[in-house]
Amino acid sequence: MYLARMAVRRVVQLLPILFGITLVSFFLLRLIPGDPVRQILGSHYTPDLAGPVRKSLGLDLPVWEQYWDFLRSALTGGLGHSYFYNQPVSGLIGQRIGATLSLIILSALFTAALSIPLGMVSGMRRGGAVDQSTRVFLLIGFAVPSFLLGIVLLLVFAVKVPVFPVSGYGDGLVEHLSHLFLPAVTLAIPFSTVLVRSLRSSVIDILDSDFVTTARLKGISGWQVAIRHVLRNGIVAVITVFGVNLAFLVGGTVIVEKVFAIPGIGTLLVDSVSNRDYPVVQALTLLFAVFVVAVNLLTDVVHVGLDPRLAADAR
Amino acid sequence: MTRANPGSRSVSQSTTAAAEPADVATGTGEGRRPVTVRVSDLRVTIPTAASLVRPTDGVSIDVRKGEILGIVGESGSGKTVTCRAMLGLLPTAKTTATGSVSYPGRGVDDVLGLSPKQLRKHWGSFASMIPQNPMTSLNPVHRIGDQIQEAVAARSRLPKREQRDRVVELMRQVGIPAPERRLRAYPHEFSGGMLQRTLIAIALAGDPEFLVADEPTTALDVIIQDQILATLLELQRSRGMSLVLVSHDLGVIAQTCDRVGVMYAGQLVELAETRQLLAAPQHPYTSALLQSMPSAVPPDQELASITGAPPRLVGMSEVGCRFAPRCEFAEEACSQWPTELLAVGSKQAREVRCRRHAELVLTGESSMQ
Amino acid sequence: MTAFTEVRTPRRGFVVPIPKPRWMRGRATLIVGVLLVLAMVVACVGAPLWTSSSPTAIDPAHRLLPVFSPGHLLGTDDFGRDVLSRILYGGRLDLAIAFGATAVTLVVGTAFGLCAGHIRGKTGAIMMRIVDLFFAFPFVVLVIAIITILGSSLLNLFIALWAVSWVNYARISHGQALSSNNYGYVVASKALGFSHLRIMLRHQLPSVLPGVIIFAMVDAVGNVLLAAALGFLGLGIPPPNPEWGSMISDGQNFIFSDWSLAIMPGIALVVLGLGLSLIGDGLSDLLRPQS
Repeated sequence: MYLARMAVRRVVQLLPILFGITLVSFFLLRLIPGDPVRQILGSHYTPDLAGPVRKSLGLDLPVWEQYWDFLRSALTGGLGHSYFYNQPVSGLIGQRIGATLSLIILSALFTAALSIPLGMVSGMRRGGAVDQSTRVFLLIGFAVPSFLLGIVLLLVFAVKVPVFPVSGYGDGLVEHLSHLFLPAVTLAIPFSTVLVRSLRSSVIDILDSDFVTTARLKGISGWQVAIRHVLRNGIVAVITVFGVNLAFLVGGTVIVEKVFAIPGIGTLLVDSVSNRDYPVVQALTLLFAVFVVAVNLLTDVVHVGLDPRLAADAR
Repeated sequence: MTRANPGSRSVSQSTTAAAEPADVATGTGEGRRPVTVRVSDLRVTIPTAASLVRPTDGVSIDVRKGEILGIVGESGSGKTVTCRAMLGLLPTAKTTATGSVSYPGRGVDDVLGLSPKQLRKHWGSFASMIPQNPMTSLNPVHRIGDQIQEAVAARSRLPKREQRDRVVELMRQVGIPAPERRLRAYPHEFSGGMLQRTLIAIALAGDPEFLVADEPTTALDVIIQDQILATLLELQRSRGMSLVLVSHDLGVIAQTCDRVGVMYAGQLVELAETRQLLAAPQHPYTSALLQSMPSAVPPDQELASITGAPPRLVGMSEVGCRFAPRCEFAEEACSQWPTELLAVGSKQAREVRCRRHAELVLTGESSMQ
Repeated sequence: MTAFTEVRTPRRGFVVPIPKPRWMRGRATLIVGVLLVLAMVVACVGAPLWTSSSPTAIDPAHRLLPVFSPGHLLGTDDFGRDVLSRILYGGRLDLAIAFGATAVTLVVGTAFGLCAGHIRGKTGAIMMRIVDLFFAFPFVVLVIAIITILGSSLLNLFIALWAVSWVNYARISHGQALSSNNYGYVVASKALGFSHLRIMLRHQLPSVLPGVIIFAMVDAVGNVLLAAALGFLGLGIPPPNPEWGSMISDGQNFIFSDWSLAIMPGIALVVLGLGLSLIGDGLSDLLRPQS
């Protein structure tokens, strides 16, 4: 199917970027002033001990060889060894990625559930009550930082009115969901502001189109016009915006996980920074970037799938 | 502004289907066909940032069953606004309208006053439209077959498979070759002519009695124009629909319409049977239009054009002939005249908005078929 | 082309129109935004004028005083430090970031994108590939990584923001520069043989500026929030210097009892963000009027 072929072609085009990502991630850490061996050994540092440690970490090899090793092992899933936890990084990630992925997926769902109705109604009933309230919502939602929003939600829905748990992740699907509910809302709200704005603008443009008049004149109901024609076309532009802003969503999870104490890879990143656990930071930087690239690719494919006019180019 | 002789227009209910379409339309026969759509002193006002614009200013027209009524005029003459108002569509949400549009046969007295929900009942099943720009009038992300089927499904209770059959049949009727293969195509894969045929199919899906064709061939090239017009006429004839054909191209109107209304600056300036209008126009504007057509001029002569500039619709005064500034027969009194449509002759179905029409001898066009 | 719709009785919104003097009409958002930001700037830069307490003075005897206590309008934190003065002095930092980080990235990023859009060809393509590379990383992650390397300090925070944020401007100015290449006056100036610099600055830059400036407001908000987020995560400026983000983080520990500790700096953040957003909206309406 042409979408699959297009995806493969895009991946090939992306290879330079992926390559670049690995380069950046690798060299990022090589830029650290000072000697990493000194960091590891801390107060136990002596030149004698340093030698073997350096060798065991492969730090005595020329830089390019180090990079090549890094690349090779990364491709096979080996992402280094954590200084702090004394475990393979991939193991650490494996333990925690579930929570982060669940959070991202749930946030995406909430975002869609929030943005689509708001965007549609405010675009179709311009100047109406929904539109005006939405504009206020957009303004505030954008200026409020996610961690503050998270704290406020915590305050209201977990402390004052204990509906949701205050922190952590819980066990089992139901508990996971209840723990992730507030964090997902926290992420969904700022993300929605961008999407609502985009969808509303898209809807307003579409309402002016000739084909909407044609559709109306068929005598079909307002709902059918709204969904089959207006929304179906409006969503195409929004998908692109969604993809572009996904990087921000991912960044947001890092913060939100901290607020709600969710044991995901976001907290792992932040903790590792404080712990000076460079291999973990490096691996996570790489991982996040690859994830963003992958999701962008996915949104591109969906975009082409939704708009048959683009398929002509993809063939 | 008053309508000419309101009392003289009686609607006869007797059917004279056997009579010539022209006679029936002008009422020379025993009776006249029922009115399908009646526009009564329609005035549409659009508030803009600067002031009020009145694209349609006191238009009254009856469209009768089975006739083809042409409306011709320049851009900005108000023809699009008028014909869309016949469907209950007005330019923007802020537009206001006085006068009325009614569907006597359906018992609807005030189309413009209907709620969207009520209006929808008539769309597709009674009244329909073929839009001007086929390239933008279809949903780009849905397949052609689905879009036609949507129109069919809206007006019938057939099961899916039979809906499909009906879609294919419609496509065949409008002249789309190999319809079964074309069902799954997307609009961007169709040429302009094919798209316009699709739109005709959609318009006809609900078996409407009344069809508005808003410059249906303007966006197409000349060869396709002829084909589409022929298809349209054939369908109109076989279904007995009333058709309002709007165009700025007098040639197209002349070929197809029983009656013609000429619009200028938001007003109807002449209304007559096509042949009569062409042979002996009663309004200077009509005459000037006829003479300015390229086909009217022998190859070695300069093209004629109407002097002056098209009228600006903002701040039109209520009094005075709007064509006067450009009219070669204009007199002082013309710009003071409270214009109205006057009856021409005794036939009572011909009207003109010119105070000097009886005394002027205007050039018609005889080489038009 | 205008859409044709069914006739609908005009709906009246519930907003009551307020009569405004002519020059203000349509500029309400911009003015409110400017006022808010101005108020913030005056409050924070002129902090010594409004409060006599020191933001860092520890006073164990008066820990965790509630709001409206005598001498401490917004109470004290768990070290006995006056919250109000911490907010005002801390605001200086966030304001510095809003303006300082944004200004530099604005200039650098726009210049980069302008050049890439003007030069086009292979060089231009490579330049923009670099930009794409940066876009692959979530900003927060990249900034965190840079802070990790350089350590936490105000200067490093600036450096991290500069290194990461410029790409947004590059993308916007590149896009607009590309379009403007086809504008009549640009083509003409190229044909006339004007120098590259002259074409870019005098002819292409003016069409690039509106989009970039509007985005700068959005970006300023983003930078402030990012800096606060880093403070919140404990990766920003080290204590005892007050900063809104780290104050909120500290305050979260007391959420059950003294929730104002977290909320007060939060309100300050929101007000600043709101002000900048409104300026952005107002400028957008001004520079790109929509019919």
